[in-house]
Amino acid sequence: MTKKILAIAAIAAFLLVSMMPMAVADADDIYTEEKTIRSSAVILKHSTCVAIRSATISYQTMYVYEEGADGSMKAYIADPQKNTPGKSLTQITGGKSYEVYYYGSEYVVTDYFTMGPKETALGTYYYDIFVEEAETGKLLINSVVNDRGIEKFNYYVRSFSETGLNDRYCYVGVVTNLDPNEYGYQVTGNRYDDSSLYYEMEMKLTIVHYTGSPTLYVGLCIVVVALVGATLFMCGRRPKL
Amino acid sequence: MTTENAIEVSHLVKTYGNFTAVSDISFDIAKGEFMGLLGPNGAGKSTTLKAVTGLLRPTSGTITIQGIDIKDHRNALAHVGSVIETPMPYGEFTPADLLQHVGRIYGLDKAEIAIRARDVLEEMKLWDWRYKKIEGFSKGMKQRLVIAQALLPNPDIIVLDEPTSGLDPRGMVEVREILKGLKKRDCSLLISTHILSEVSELCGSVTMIRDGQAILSGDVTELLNGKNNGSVTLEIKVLRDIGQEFITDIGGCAGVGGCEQMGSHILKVEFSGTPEQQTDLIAMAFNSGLGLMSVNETGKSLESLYMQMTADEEAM
Amino acid sequence: MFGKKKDEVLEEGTQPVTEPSPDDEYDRPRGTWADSGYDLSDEEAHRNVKYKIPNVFSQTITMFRTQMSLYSKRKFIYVILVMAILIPVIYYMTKDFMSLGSAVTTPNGTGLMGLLICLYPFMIAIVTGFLCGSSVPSEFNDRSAYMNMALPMSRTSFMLGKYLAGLVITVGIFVFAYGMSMAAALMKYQYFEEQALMNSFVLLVMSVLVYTSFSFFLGSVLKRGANILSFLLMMVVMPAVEIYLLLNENIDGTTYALFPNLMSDNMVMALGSNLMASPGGTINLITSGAITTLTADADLAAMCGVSVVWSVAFLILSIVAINRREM
Repeated sequence: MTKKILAIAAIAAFLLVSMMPMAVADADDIYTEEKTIRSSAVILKHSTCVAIRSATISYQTMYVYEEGADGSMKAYIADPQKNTPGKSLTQITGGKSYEVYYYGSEYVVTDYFTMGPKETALGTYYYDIFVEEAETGKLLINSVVNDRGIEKFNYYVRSFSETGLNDRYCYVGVVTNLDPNEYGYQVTGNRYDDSSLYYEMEMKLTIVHYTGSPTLYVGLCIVVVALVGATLFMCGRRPKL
Repeated sequence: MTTENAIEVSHLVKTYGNFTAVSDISFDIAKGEFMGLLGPNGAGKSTTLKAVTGLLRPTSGTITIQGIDIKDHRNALAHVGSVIETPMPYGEFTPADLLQHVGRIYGLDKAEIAIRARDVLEEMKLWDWRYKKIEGFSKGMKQRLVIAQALLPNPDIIVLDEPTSGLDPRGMVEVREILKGLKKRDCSLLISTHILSEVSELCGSVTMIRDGQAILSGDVTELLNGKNNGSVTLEIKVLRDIGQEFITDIGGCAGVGGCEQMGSHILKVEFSGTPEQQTDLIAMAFNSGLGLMSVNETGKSLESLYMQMTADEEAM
Repeated sequence: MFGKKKDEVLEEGTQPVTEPSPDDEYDRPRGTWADSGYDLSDEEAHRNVKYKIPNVFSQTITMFRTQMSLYSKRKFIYVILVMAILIPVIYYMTKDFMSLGSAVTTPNGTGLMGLLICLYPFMIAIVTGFLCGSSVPSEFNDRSAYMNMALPMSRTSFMLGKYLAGLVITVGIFVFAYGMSMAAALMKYQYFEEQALMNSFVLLVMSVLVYTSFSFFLGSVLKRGANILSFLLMMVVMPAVEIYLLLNENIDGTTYALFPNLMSDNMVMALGSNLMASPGGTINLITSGAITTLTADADLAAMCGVSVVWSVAFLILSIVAINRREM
C-alpha cells in the first residue's frame, strides 16, 4: 500500500511539474505593441489598432491639437474644478492622430488623489481601443520617466476582453514629495500662474495581448481533487478481516 | 544487570517541579517473568509504567527493554504491547480499523493483520463487533479492545495498567486466563494493579510501591515466606465439634506454634514446620475421627503481606 | 495452545485442568472463543511470529493513512464540499442580478473569479482551524494518544503523518472549491488572465499551507481552543497590526504582502478583486482598493518563500512541542 501511495505521489508531482512549463509558455505567448508617449503630452500615434475617438480627462485642462506644429486646436476642457468626468470631445475624428496636451507647459496639473494625500493621479485617460483581430489584451502603462519630484510610480490597469470598441481606462498615479493642501490634493492656484510646478512625463503605452484560457487550471484542479479524493477513499476503506 | 532481562529499571526518579512522583525505584523483570506492581492510588505505579513505555521522560535513572534504552523509543518498544491509563481508541474507528492501524505500526502486512486480528478479537470475544464503531462500545468492550491491540503483534513483553478495570467478573477471569496462557510463550508481563488476588494469581514476582518508593520487591513466594518467617496459619475445619483433646493433640505436633479455636468446627493453627511435619499434622487431624473437611493455609497471603508492609511504613 | 483440539475428549472421571502442567495443552474455561468455533493452532494463528517494525517513513505514511481514514469518517468534510458545490449553483441562479461593480478591476473571467472567491480567506481560517487545530488536542482529550504514543513509533512520525493528512485534505477541499468557482466564472467568461490565475492558484496553496501549519502548532501546545485562537490570531490580531503599520507607512505594500497570514488576501487580490472576507478586504472596501494598489508590486516568489519558511518553522515547533510533552 505504501508503494501505491508513493506511486500516486510521484505521478502527481510529475503532472504538476510538467504543467508549470505549459503555464509559463502560455503566459509568454503575448503580442506586444508599444507606443511611446512624448513628454508633456499624451500622444497616441498608432496607425493600426489604436485610435482616439474621444478622450475625457477629469479635472484636467486638456488641449487637443491636430498633429503637427501648425495643427489647430480642436478642443479643450477648461476650469478643472468645474469639470466633470466623462465629458467627451466631439471634434475628434477617429482614424487620425492627434496631439493631446493634458496640461500646458506652464500650467499645473490639478488632480484628484486616489490614495492618501501624497499620491497624485496624473489623470484618468479614457481610450477607445479597438483591435483588428479577435484578441484579448491588457492596457499597460509600463513606466513613467520623470526627473522632478516623483518618488514612486503606481498604475492601475484595466483589461479589455472583446473585439470592437471598448471603453477602457486606467489610472496613472505618482507619489510625490509635494505637500497636499487641506482638501487632500495639491492646488496650484490659478492655472495661469507661472510659478506653478509642472511635470514632464513620458509614458509608454503598451498594448499586451493575452491568449490565455483556464484549461490548464481546470485540469490542475481536477487532478488535485481526484488525487485527494482517491487517497481519502483508499484510506477510508474498511479493512477486510 | 544483564541484557537477558526483559525490563530493567534502575534508580528511576520522576519529579514534577517540587513533587516527587517516583523516587529511586529499581527492579528487573527476567524473560518470561510476570511481575506485579502493587500500591495504593497515587503511589507512582502509573508513572512507573509510563516511564517504561516512553510516555514520559524520567528525571533520572535508566530504563532498558531487552537491552535497549527506552530513549530509543522505536526499537525499545518494537516487541512490547501495552495498555496504559485506559486509552480510548478513536470512536469513529471500528476494531478492524484500529487493529489495522496498530498492525501497520508494528510492521504487519495486510495478510498478517487479518490473521492476527481475528485471533485477538476472538480471544477477546469481539469478533462479531469487528465492523462496529468503537464509540458504541461499553467500557469493558473498549478495555478488551485495547488489550487486543496490545496482543496483536505477539509481543515479548506486555505492560498493562489495571487491565481488568471496567470488566465484569467474568471478563476479569477471562483476561487473567489469557494472560496466564502467555507464560507458555516466554512472554514477560508487567502489570500494575491494586487487586491483590490478581497479582497472586498471575505474578511470580511483585514490587510494592508507596509514595513513589519501592517498599518491597522480589519473588512472591520468597517474600511471603520471608515475612512470615516461614510460618503459616492453617485453618482446620472438621465436621463435628472440636474438643480439648483434639486441640491438645494438634498442639503437640511438631512445628505447631499455637492453636486458636474459631467456633466449634474450626481450629487455627500457627505452623512453622517442614512440609513433612505438615503432612503428619494433617494426617493426625484426619485420624482424629472428627471428620476432617478441609485444611487451608490462610496466613501466607499477599494481602496480609501488603497490609503488613503498608502498616510498617505508617508506623515508621 | 489456546483451546483444546476439537477431537480431543476428556476421559470420564478426570477433573478439568485449571493450572497448566508442563506437557499438557492448556484447557481454557468454557465461555470463551473456544465455543465460537474458532480453533486455530499457534502456527495457524501466527502466534509465534515475530515482526520487524518498519522504517520511520512507513510509519509516517501509516499515521497519514490513519488520519485520512479518520477524516473520511467526519461529516464536516462533506458539509464543506457540498458548500463548495453550491458556489456555481448559486452563481448560476444569481448571475443575472450580479453586478461586478467597482469591486473588480478586470471585467473578465479572472475578475469574476476574484469576486467568487472573496469568502475564501475567512473559510480557510475556519476550516484549517477546525480540521488541523483540533487534530492533536483531540488525541489527548480523547485519550487515544496514550495508545499511539506507547507504540514503537517516534512522535515525529506521529506528528508528520497527522500534519500531512491535514494539509492534503485542506488543499483538496479548497482546490475543489476553487475549481467550482472557475466553473461558475466559465459560465459567463471564456477569457482568464493566465498569469493572474496562476498567481492566485499558487497563493491559494500557500495560504492553506500557512494556516494549516499555524493551527497545527497551536494544537500541539494548547489543550483546548486552538481552532478559535488560530482564527483570531491570523484573521484579527495580526491583520490589525499589519494594516496599522501599512496605513501609517511604517511598511510598504510589498512588505505588507509578505506577511504569511495575508496570503489568502493576496490570492484574491491577484485576480484583481478588492473584495475579500478579511480585515484587509474591509479596508479595501473603505478605501476603494488601497491595499490592492499598494501590494501590486508584490513578488510571488518572495511570498511563496516566506510561506514555506513560516510553515516549516511552525511544523518543526509542533514536533518539538510534542516531543517534549509528557503524558
